[in-house]
Amino acid sequence: MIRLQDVRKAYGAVEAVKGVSLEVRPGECFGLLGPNGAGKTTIARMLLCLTQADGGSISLFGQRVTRMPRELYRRIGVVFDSANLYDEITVVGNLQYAAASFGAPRSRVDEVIEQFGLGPHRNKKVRHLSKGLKQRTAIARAIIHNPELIILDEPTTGLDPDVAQEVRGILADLYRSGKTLLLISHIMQEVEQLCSRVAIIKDGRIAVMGSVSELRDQFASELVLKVRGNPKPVLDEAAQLGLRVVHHSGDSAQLAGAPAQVWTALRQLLSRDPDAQGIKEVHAAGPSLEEVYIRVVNGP
Amino acid sequence: MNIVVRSLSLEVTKVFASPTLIVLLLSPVTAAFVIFLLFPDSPSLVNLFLLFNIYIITVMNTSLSIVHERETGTLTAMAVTPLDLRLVLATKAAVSVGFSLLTTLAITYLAARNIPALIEPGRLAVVTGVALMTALLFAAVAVMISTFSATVKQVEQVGTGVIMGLLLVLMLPFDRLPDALQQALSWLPILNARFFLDAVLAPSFSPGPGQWAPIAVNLAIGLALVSAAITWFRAKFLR
Repeated sequence: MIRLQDVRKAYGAVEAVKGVSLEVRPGECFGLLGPNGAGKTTIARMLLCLTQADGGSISLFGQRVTRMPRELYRRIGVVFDSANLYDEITVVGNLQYAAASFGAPRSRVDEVIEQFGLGPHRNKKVRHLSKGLKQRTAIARAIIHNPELIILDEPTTGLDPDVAQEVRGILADLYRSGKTLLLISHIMQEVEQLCSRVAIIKDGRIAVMGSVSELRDQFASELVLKVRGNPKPVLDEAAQLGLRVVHHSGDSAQLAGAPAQVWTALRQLLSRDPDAQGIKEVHAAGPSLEEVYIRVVNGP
Repeated sequence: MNIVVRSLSLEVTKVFASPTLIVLLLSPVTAAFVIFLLFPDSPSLVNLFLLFNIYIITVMNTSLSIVHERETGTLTAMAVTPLDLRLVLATKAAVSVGFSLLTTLAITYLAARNIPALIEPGRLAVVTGVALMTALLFAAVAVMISTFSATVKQVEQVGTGVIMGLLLVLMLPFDRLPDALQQALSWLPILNARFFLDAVLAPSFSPGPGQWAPIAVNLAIGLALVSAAITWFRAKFLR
């Protein structure tokens, strides 16, 4: 559905995207992860022809695009990191205009209002809506023309956790209904929950790509030891135990090392009366997607 | 066609939904009403009001609307629909030009209390023609300002600067310029103020083919400038 081959983009002397190649298959939810400034949004903008690539090729629906044929936009829905709605216009007004822009039948407006539970808010101006309702309206607008592909650029950024979870529920429903999703995010929980495959972008290049379990397996040569409460005893002995400090802040620490070393450290901690040492929680586990991400992004 | 009507109606709705824009539209007419009431013997104020009315509505309304939409992201949202961005921008310019023509007519009718000849059909047609070509020129200026202004605040600053430039042009002693330069400038939209002066103030003014030729040329120049400015904005926006 989406194919990028050796795509490059520079802004002046700054190379934002340095030869990215990836493929998003029909019906999958593909996650594009990376720190701020890694090039994720530039990739999305190039896909949508909002920015012209300097090199490489981009294909959408099997059609190579440099200047996107306007008709192709009928097959794509986009949700931006901010709602991008007309604040002074009502919810129904925004959706009616979007329907007209995409040439969708007017009946779709009532359908998506029903689908997203916007009925009680249909005649409210967007500026009077909560952030969550705005984002729901934005997603309703993105699918008003029933697109095959939905591109989501940080759709839950800035939302309260409960609202973000609600938005993720909506995205999961869209995925289950057979839509292809390209999810750009730096929220691991969201990507882990929704995406079948993931690419992590670092410095304008794809550092790793695969399914979530493939990525976790790829980094499973090390286990992570998490300590909460008083991590000082284990931090003091980290070097001696052959462990690397991944993260340390106040009352918690994460250390990584070979499985045998992590198990040894865990046994030592447990044998010394953890309660007396002020340790409230300690556990060893394989890397989560977040840990994979941190290692990829902070790695050499 | 449906989408053009919808886009126009959306733009009009946005104007009426925003108190700031309503004030922007009504303030020149209200000010003109007060000034004509207080100074009935100063007809020279009429052309100034007409020019500034068109400037404020066309330049400020169009550029504020475009840059506000770019800031809030709605312009980007429109760029990923089958609509051509040029249509979206042209709609904005068209609505501002339309509003400026309506308020021009309102001011002309107010001024007609003291200069009844203003609403004679021939003279009214010339005033409308001059207002339209001026509005088109200013619409092009508005799109240019939007191209180079990153924020609404910058639009306000640049817009004020351009008003100063306009004042300077109005005060230039064209009669003292070399003949060749006067001849060349007389065909440029920059001299719209003179058309207003002739059409509004000259008691002996009689509408005729002499006025329509430069108006037609300036209308064509205005349209060309607007479409060039819109094409440039789009190219920069999608770079």
